[in-house]
Amino acid sequence: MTLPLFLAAAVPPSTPAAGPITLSPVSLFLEADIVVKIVMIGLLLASVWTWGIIVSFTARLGRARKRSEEFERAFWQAQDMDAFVKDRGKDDAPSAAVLQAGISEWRRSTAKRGLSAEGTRDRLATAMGSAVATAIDKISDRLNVLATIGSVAPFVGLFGTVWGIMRSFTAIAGEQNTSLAVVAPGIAEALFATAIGLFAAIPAVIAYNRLSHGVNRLEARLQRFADGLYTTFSRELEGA
Amino acid sequence: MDRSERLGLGVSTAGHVLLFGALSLGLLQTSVTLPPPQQTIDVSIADDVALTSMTPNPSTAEPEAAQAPEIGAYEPDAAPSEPVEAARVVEPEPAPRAIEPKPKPQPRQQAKPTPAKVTQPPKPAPKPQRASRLGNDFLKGLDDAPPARNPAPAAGANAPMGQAAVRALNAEINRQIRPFWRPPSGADADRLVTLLSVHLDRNGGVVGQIEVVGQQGLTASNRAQADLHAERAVQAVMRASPFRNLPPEYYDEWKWLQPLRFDARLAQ
Repeated sequence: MTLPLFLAAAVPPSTPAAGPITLSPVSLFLEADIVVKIVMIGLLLASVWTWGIIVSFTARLGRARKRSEEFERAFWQAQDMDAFVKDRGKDDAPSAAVLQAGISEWRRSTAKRGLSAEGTRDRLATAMGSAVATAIDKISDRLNVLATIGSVAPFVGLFGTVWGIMRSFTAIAGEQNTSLAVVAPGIAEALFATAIGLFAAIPAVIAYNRLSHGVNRLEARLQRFADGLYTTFSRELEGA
Repeated sequence: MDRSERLGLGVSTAGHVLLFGALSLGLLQTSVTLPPPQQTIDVSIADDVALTSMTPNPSTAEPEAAQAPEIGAYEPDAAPSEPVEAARVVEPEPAPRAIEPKPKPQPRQQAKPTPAKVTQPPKPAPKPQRASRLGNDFLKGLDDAPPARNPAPAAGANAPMGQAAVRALNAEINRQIRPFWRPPSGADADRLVTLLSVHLDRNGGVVGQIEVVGQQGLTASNRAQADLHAERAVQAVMRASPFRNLPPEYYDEWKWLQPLRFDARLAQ
């Protein structure tokens, strides 16, 4: 910080500037104040984390949706439900967990004599509903991080900028010189903090909206599968 | 943190490193290339108009009322003799002619010879005075009858050089200082004036200490800039020295630049 300022003051106006003015992120970072540096590092880590979550979450959501779809198609085409459950009941598709919850509740309810069909239907619905909720909870684990980064990162960046600008104004007061060469580097560094904040926040907000929409669709699909199972079990209860 | 999250973090870290590496290495770098400086031509404006306009030697004396001569008989002999007498007293040896071979005489010494010359045997008048009906006091209001030939008594120490030469010398010194003169900016900073005293040797180099003789235009709001102003003025002289192209025959005039004035106008 002090060295470029000194140089700028020492170069007489008649001589051209030493080279092109660069705005490389590394030089902006290195010349910044310690507080601004901490803010920048934090925001950079937030950005890395955001993209890590985006990548892993997209992969996990896509895998869950594809497996559920495939599992449900196979389930409705299966002739023998018991054989299918024995064969594929341990799949890691969310639908398999819902099926597993329904089947185990069905077995527990039908094992004992004397339990009413009404109560069994209620228990089946509750068991499968909670299985859907558990699966969705497990998948949507990191979404809150995206929401937090998306809403907080701009403010953190703004804090770094305000701090950096305050500092460069202090430098102006110390230098007793208001020429643009004194003011400009400090403000450029300070604004870099806001830039990184936005750099982290914008993908986080977009990804949060998009991924929560994906989670909602998966939840609706699991709920429909649970409803189908419920009607099937209900029919079986009537028939029994 | 399961396998997919580790994978995601790895991918995103690699992406960030790639992006910032590319930015730092200048692949996406914003470089502001300045236009090449144009070939500068030094223009020295020889301002024949002085900075403050004034008459060469304004007379404060009330001009005497002109008296019409008595109309009498035409006397061819009497008329020539009187103007010769008057011309002898009023017109000194024209100064520039006396200086050209020898630039030494100082203004105070200059002042003395003038009355001395009156006592010398008068030279014959350059032109025979024409007889006139006008009175002798016709030009009395203009107390310097030949002002053009009597260079600038008001210019003080610079008198032996002539005003044009002084202005040219000042312009030359200012021209050499101007590229190095960067006055501080700020509220009222353009009002500040710093006066320096600089001694030069015959090669135009600075001898001894550059002294700040005074500062003008100080206000409450530019007081903070005053020291910097003076410091920049001294720096400008240091950087501009040695001064070149100063006429060696006028060394006496520029060996001591007494009030060397630094103000906002010099920077323009």
